[in-house]
Amino acid sequence: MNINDLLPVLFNITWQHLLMIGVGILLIYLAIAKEYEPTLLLPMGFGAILVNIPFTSAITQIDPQTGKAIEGALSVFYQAGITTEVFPLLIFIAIGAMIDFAPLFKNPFLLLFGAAAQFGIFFTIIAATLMGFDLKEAASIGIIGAADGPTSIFVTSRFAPHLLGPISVAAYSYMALVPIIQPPVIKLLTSRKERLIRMEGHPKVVSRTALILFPITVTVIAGIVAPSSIALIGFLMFGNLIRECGVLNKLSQSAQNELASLVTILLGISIASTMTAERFVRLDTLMIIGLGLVAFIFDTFGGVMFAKLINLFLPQGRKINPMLGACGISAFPMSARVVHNMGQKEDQFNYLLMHAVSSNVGGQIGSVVAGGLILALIPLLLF
Amino acid sequence: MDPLSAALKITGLGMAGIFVFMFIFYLSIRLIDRLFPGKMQSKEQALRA
Repeated sequence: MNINDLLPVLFNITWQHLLMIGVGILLIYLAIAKEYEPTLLLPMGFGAILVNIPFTSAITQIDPQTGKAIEGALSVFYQAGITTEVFPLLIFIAIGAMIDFAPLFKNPFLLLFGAAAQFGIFFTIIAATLMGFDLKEAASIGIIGAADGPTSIFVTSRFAPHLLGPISVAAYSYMALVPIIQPPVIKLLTSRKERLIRMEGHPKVVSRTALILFPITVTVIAGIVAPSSIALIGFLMFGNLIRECGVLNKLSQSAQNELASLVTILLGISIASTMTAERFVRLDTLMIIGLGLVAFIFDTFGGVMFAKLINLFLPQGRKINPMLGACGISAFPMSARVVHNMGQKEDQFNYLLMHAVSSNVGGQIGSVVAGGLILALIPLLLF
Repeated sequence: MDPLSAALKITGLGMAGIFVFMFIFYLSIRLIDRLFPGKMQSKEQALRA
């Protein structure tokens, strides 16, 4: 018996494995030291270490002696939760229970910013296609621009499961980097005069009946118009109905806390099972990371430019602060906070927060609608 | 259909689709709010909120 038989890992580890272990440590560092989406990046980082040690029992391996597959726990989680789309959908229930749609009732018009700020998704699909990705892969990369992790995971697991690792890392990393990505783009697209525009407040209370009816209405409309989007939108709205009905407070709290925490752990570590060196250390990964940034930049571009377009038709005194367009992405409440802070930097008495939150909630709906539409459109165009 | 044409088609249909969806949601919010209006807040309540 020689040392190779005693410590086979040491003699089979490659630079790619070491690089991926480094990526895992980097994700853990970003999660702990920088607090970048720690609930997801930490399990993903640790999972990346777990799956990149040669002969790891964490993922399914083929026994060289018998040729039989030995099931690994992470592969089992992946099959049970990601392939079946169960984990992202459960997360949608939790997110739905966290969303308060009341701000939208105060400024319903801002819902449209949630549509305009999805532009980055589609711009990136075109860019990814030009870079040589096929349509399903391009759609999965574009959906990073939804700024909504579970939607990205849901769409990617359907269309390009082999890209799930890099797409998830990009989606969650850029969501955490919204305060760094958005301000320079907003500044570039707006003048100081535009950033100084003040918005009137709406001191209005929304009735409980309205808040209960809204998720049901949205689900029915989405089901009629695009049935393939119903799982995404329906689970989100189901979570919201639990929150708003007023008789399931315990369930609502459980969905927001225990369900969200448990499924996030399983989601993060299951995605990590795809972050093996063979799949991750490729030029494609760098391209996906770059395209993810493009998606976020053009989301902001779409939202701000739409607000500026609307302003062309509004009379003086009723114009919209175009920075609110940038909040039409799903990164909640980060994007709203960024815009509010930018407004206050220009004028400390300019309170944009309530409007920014409305636009941001619109973005949460918009991102899920975008995901649903992509799920519906791609098969139509391919077959 | 080549991938670029398909991507352009998805962009057109997708953006139009999102706006249509959001506009329908906007109308439904207005309708629900009109059918089941909430109470207006007094200045004091608004400040407290």
